[in-house]
Amino acid sequence: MPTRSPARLVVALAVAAVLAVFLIYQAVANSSTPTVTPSQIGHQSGKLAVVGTVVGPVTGDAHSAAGMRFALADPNDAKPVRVLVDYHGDDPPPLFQPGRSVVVTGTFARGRLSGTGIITKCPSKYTTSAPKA
Amino acid sequence: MADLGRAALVVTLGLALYALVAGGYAAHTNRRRLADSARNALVCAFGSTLVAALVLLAALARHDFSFQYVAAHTNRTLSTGYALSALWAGQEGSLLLWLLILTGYGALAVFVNRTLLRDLVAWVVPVLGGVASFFAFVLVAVASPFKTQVPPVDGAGLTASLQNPYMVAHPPMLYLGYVGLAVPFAFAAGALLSGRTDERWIVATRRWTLAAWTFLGFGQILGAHWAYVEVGWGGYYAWDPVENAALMPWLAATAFLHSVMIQERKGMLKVWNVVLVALAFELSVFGTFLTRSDVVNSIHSFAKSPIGGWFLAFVVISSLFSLALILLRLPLLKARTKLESALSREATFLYNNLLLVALCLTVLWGVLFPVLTQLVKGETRTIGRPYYDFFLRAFGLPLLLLMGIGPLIAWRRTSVRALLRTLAWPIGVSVVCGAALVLAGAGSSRPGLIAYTFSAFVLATIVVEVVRGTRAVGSVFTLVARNRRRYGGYVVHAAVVLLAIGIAGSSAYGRSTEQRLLPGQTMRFDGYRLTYRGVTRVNTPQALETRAHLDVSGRWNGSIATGTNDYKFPPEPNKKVAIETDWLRGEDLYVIADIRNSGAVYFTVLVKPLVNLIWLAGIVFVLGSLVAMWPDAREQRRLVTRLAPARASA
Amino acid sequence: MTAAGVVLGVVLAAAVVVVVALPFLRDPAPADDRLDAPTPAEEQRLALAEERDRALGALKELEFDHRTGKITDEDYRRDVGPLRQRAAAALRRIGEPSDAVPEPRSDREERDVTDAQPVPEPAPPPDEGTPPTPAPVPEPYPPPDEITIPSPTPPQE
Repeated sequence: MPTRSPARLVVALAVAAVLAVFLIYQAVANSSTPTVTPSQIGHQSGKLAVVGTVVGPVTGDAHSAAGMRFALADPNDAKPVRVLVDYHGDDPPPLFQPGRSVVVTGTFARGRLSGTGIITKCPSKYTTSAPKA
Repeated sequence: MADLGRAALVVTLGLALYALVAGGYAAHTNRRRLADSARNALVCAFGSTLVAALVLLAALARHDFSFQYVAAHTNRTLSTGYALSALWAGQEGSLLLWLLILTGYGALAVFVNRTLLRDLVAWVVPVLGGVASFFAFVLVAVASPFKTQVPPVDGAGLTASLQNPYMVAHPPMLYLGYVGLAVPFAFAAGALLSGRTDERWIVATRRWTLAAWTFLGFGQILGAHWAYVEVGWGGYYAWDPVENAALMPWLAATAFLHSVMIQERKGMLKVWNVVLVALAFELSVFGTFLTRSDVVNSIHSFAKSPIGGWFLAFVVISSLFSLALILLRLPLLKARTKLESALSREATFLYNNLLLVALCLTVLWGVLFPVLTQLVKGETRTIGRPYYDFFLRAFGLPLLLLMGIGPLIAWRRTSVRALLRTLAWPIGVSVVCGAALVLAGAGSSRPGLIAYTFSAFVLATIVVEVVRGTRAVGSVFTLVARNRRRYGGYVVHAAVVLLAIGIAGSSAYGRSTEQRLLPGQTMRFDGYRLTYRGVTRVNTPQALETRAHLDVSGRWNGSIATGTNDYKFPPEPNKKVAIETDWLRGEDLYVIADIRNSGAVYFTVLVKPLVNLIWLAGIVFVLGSLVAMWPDAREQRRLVTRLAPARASA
Repeated sequence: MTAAGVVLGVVLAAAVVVVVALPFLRDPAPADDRLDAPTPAEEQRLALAEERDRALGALKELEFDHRTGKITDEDYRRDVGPLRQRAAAALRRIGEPSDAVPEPRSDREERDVTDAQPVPEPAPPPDEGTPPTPAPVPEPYPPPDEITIPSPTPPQE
């Protein structure tokens, strides 16, 4: 009686192993972060990534105990909600300034976001700037 | 002249639609002259797109601000080189470049294969015509680069971070890769549409796929290098969705390049290969959709663009078309032979494919996760770096190992005894290397140590292969000349090893610190002494250049300056980091300064071991690909003999 | 648009029309307007050619793998016979001269195998060149299809 090649079984087991690695990781690790705008925070607390526009004045120093302070508004100021941010960490990127769109990651508690990371967005390549007069 | 550009694009759209409709009809009804006419239309589409591109380039060179695009992306102080590179600096221009490359590739592919593969080309033309029609439509109706206005006094200028040689080269390289994947896709679709079961489409597109894959890979290395030297955060890859958009089709194409060898030799994996080539193409268009919509948060993407929806529709329609075609032709795609052994080169190629596709889909899951959570749960959740790092190790390290085992394992089947005998030297070398690395202190990072050890293993197998092959054949030159694909592939493997060592070294063994210094103060870190001397400010026509100056001694002696450039047109600050490379130790001293008005400066100092191997890997990668792609006259003659129509016997 | 632009546009449009219509202009009334699609016979020939190249390629790879030590002498001896037979069969099916390659011996009948010619160096697979004369491989006994079997004695009447 011809014996079946074990090759298919081994390949099937390899596929199963790859899937198992993925599923186990997804089940065990909790590496996703809610990404919200200031108006979407609501009653959430804990680790968040907040997308918004920087509202000045920007005061303080990211390296000091008090940290750097600013506020975030909804993108395009869709809703008149502000979130106060106390940022401690690496220097913000050079493009960081009032009016710039940013993503601040940190922990939200008692109405304030304790930020630990800032990403600013590159100036848009894919929308046309208004021409100068 | 804008009218000429507009008219040229309308002509391109018309020609592409003709290639699609007439070409499809001709292929279906077997009409030679109509098929040739459709092929000519595709070639002419390249010509008319070239006219459009030249019109825009001329406007950029002349600073013709009556073109809205020129005013938005250049100004009078911009040099001619950067002004011309603004062709791909914005939405409309980059789409025009995409269409130019697509029609150029398409014209060349159908022209080169017009005689030997006439029947197949007849089906390829409408597929390429369909893709070109979409891009031409977007340029004509949605995002035209030829919108005009009353010319302003000056333009808005080019973003400062894009005024960099690497950023000039990075988009064209990527596009040559992305768009190049359309050619093997079109040939695969053409083969399925024509109902042929032979491997002609693979043979015809082998070098196209390799070239596109090389451009895509090298383009990513260029982008990583730009991020490292220009963006100034100390890293080179952030797992940003737009970066991942280039990585995913590259991974799918890598899997395809390997599995296609099995189909050529064994007649197996036919379904898998057409799925892979379709996946690579769809992911390349999907990547364009990601960069031009605001679907996912990225440092690269911004305000919503009107073309996002169109691209999504195209991806959906073309994916459904590919799926339907594959399902319809499934009976033709039956394998001729079976996998004989789990311990064979075919099997290792299969395992490698599984890991590559798994990594690709893992990255895709991470990119789409925010969209999916929003759709399913109503809240957006993003996945961070730890997710990607985990799977890069989980799938990448076994891939590295397979890269070493695969070349030394025989086709069809190998016994365990034979395999162990062949791997004895590489295993020995890697064990010795691993032990030496542990003694040298590399045991502080387990993934780093594993990556280094596996890299030593792969390098040793490559050396064993070359030495044994040379002994069997007589000279290494003859060996490589007669087996270009195989040994070019080994050079590419060596490049991947360099990449792995560079990534492991700079990430797993990198060190950093941060300190605030006043003028005259010194910081010590990792064998370096850095003394802050003071700040200088130089006002140039383009920017205010602020630099903090440091004297460095210890492991390297010299002076460095780091700070920011505050550009004037457009107004935008840009970090200027200081990078000093110690070629003997193979490490970079990387210093970032945050200069305060008080005179104090916060210095972030990073030591990045072996990071320059990543850039060297890019060069080796291209060399290996060139060897693999190099034409072989003997092979060509053999293919012509195989593909030429049989002569009627006397 | 400037006058030059208009002229250029007209010239380009005319050129496009001519090039696209060229197949019809060159051959307004062809005897046969069918695409050169492969006939079933040609498709068959192509399939056989691919099979031939695969068979010869597999043989070439086996020998190269053996020469470079990836497979043992036993595995080589086990596999080379069937692969040579497969290659010979592929050459025969496509109609190429294969008189130097002995017919595969079936399980049911004995055939005369006399002083079989050495198997010619197979044509290289699509992506590998012709190897030089291989280094001698130590074999305790020759592979099955090179055994010299004396002609059978005619049966006594």
